[in-house]
Amino acid sequence: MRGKSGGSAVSDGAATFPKLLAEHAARHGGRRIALKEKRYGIWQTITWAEWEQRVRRFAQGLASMGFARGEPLAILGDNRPEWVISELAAQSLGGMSVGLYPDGVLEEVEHVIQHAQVRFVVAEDQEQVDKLIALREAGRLETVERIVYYDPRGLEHYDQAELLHFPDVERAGEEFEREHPGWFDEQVASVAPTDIAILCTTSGTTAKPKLAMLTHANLLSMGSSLMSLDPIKPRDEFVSFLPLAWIGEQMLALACGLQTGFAISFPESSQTVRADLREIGPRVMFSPPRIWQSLLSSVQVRLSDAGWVKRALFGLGYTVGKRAAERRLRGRRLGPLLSLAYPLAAATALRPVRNQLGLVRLRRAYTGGAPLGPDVFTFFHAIGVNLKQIYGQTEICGIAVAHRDGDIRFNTVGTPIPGTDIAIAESGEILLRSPAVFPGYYRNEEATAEALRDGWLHTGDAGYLEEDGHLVVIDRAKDVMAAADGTPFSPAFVENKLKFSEHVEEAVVFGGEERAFVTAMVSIDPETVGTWAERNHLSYTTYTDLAQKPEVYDLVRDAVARANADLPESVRVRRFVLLHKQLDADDEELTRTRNVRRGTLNDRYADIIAALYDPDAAAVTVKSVVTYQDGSQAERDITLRVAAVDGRPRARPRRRLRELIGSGA
Amino acid sequence: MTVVENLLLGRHVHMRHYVAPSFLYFGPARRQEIRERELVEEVIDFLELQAVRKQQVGTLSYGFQKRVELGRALCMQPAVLLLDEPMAGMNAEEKEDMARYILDVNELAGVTVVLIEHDMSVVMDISHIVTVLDFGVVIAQGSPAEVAAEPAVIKAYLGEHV
Repeated sequence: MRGKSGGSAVSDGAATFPKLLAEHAARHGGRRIALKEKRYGIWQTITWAEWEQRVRRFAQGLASMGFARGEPLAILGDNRPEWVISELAAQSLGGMSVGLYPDGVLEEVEHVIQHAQVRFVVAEDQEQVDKLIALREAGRLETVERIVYYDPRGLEHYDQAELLHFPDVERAGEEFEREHPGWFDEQVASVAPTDIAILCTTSGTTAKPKLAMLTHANLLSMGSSLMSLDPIKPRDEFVSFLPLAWIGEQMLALACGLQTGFAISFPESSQTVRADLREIGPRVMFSPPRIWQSLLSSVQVRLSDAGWVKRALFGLGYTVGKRAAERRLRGRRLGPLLSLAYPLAAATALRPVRNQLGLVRLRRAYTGGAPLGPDVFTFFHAIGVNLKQIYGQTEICGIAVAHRDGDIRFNTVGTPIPGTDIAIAESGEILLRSPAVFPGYYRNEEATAEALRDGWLHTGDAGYLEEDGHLVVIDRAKDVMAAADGTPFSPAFVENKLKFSEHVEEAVVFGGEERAFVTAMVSIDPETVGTWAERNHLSYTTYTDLAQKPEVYDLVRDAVARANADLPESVRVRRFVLLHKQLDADDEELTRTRNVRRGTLNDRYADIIAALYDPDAAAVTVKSVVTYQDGSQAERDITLRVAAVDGRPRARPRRRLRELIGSGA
Repeated sequence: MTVVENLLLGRHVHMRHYVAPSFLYFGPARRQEIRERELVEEVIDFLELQAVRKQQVGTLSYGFQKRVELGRALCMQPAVLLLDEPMAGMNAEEKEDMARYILDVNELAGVTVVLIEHDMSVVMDISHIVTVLDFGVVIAQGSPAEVAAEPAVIKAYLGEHV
């Protein structure tokens, strides 16, 4: 084993989430804002004192209903103040919160709640309550005793005895406080840093999600290690728009937020996130690659709709920005010419684009959870966004390795954050050790024993350390394979190459030793391809119809050929199919964090994969089963073309934006 | 006009208009504007129009435009709301949304809704009382189930066995 240490971390040993909340409330009281939520078009604010008081009331309300110490509280809903009030309330009573993804289907909700034996659930609105009631009436959620909702709309006529309105629980808490003065403060004081704070679902690309137990000490040590590297100030803004069930959101919003005391803003609805981001202007942001990709796509689409003056201006500014970024990332100074040109480019082209995206005040941005294409990286650095890759897992509170400012290389994930030791096992597996490593999976000792061996967290990822200590992650260890000629090959790497095309939404690449060549299943991005079809006078009816147009095949063939250009001969994509549908987490094809689930896809699309490797097959017929949110299903037959890719992309009549932003310029 | 302006228009019948104060930033005109905007925002929340609040209505999809129309009617705070074929020209999803909002208007806002509609599935699904007309003559009245069983209705709307 080869080891590397990132130094020591500083962390207050006795701190817990509820204690930190109480401290902020005592220090800032009603003077400083802790939470903001946009409602009725206005940012409504909650001060630290108010947050603490609502936590106090809700916790006591729960206690009056029999919520026991150490018990889990499931939370099912979009990001709202009530989410974090509930979480802190459970933690104040020595309990733990279990976040559920609000778009999860019945089976996912059932699995987590059953597995954790949850008695109390906080659900946002009618949609979520309906899921729980449907499961209960089917006799599949025996453990649940109380469901607390906070958006009463549409629930007036529900008469289920287990349903309770959030304010009613808070009122019960006030009552409880009159009868038991001082009880709540004792509870908060007795919460130990080694108590479990949250049960966090792992992404589950292979199996049903496991529940990782994370203690207060785990989360806070990770937060303080990260912030010792990249300080966050109390006045910094943060917008919480990704699911709080995800470790990444817990990490910044709560683990860093409660230590620093910055304000968390919740957007008005999932459709208004862009506009709300622009209004708040966050200083720090952590998003999975898909968010960055979709931001880039939106710039690409808007630019291709812009007039030639704007396009030319952006093209010039972008070239300057890209050159400047390349020098800065290598830690070099700008030359005399660039020092003159850069401020001009920044003012005319780069800053306005950043402003449109709501990233103008952003000091640091992180991406993690899956690899991000180098081209997307280049784009954000060129427009002046300090985007950094981080690497971690739910089991180590989300972050263990990160890029340092001024030392960013697109092919690596950076160096270990302070307090984290890293080693590479004989097998090539990445091993991690830090105070943030979890104590185990909830009620799953077998999996715990497999993940935690000899004090190291076995990540299941394959990777290696470069000379200067940067970690390179190849892929999930079991996904790394060898091409027919023995070249090592990671499907995810090729997929990310393909996904750089704004027309490709998801790609799944097949290959390996037993397969003669590499192939891909691609799902197109309905918005960008739709716009493209409109501009090229191509009429279509549905997503399936659009995907099967020969013209769209030509379009994607070019994208594949461009991706192939950067790849070694033996791992180039030779044949591909455009899928009749978008990959969807509701169909179990993606995880809730949008990673592809290869096992499911291999089984479900066996016919397509067979056709991809049958040189005579020009088309394949598949049965499509669509699962709707309510669990019902529909089936139909669809014929998909199989296309071959050889040679280079067709020459284009005009230099297009993609080349500009991509490899060329 | 934007969605917000459109909805504020629905408030006009309830506003007082004085010429002089309207020129001043502070004072009664401002207070009135704030009050009315509050009500409009509640309607926006109710019909889930947050994402398009500041967009020009003309640029929105048909389903959204219809929703704004419904919103403007709601802003007038009517006791009875008469909707003439609110589902006309809509696709299945837009129809479902509209049906949901009509139910909400009735149940949450407590407004009686008179719905003129010939989409049978919608009528039968959401109505409390159905009145059937055949060339201006009432031929049946009652609950959806009663009406559907009425021979005169079957004759007029579905035809007879030959």
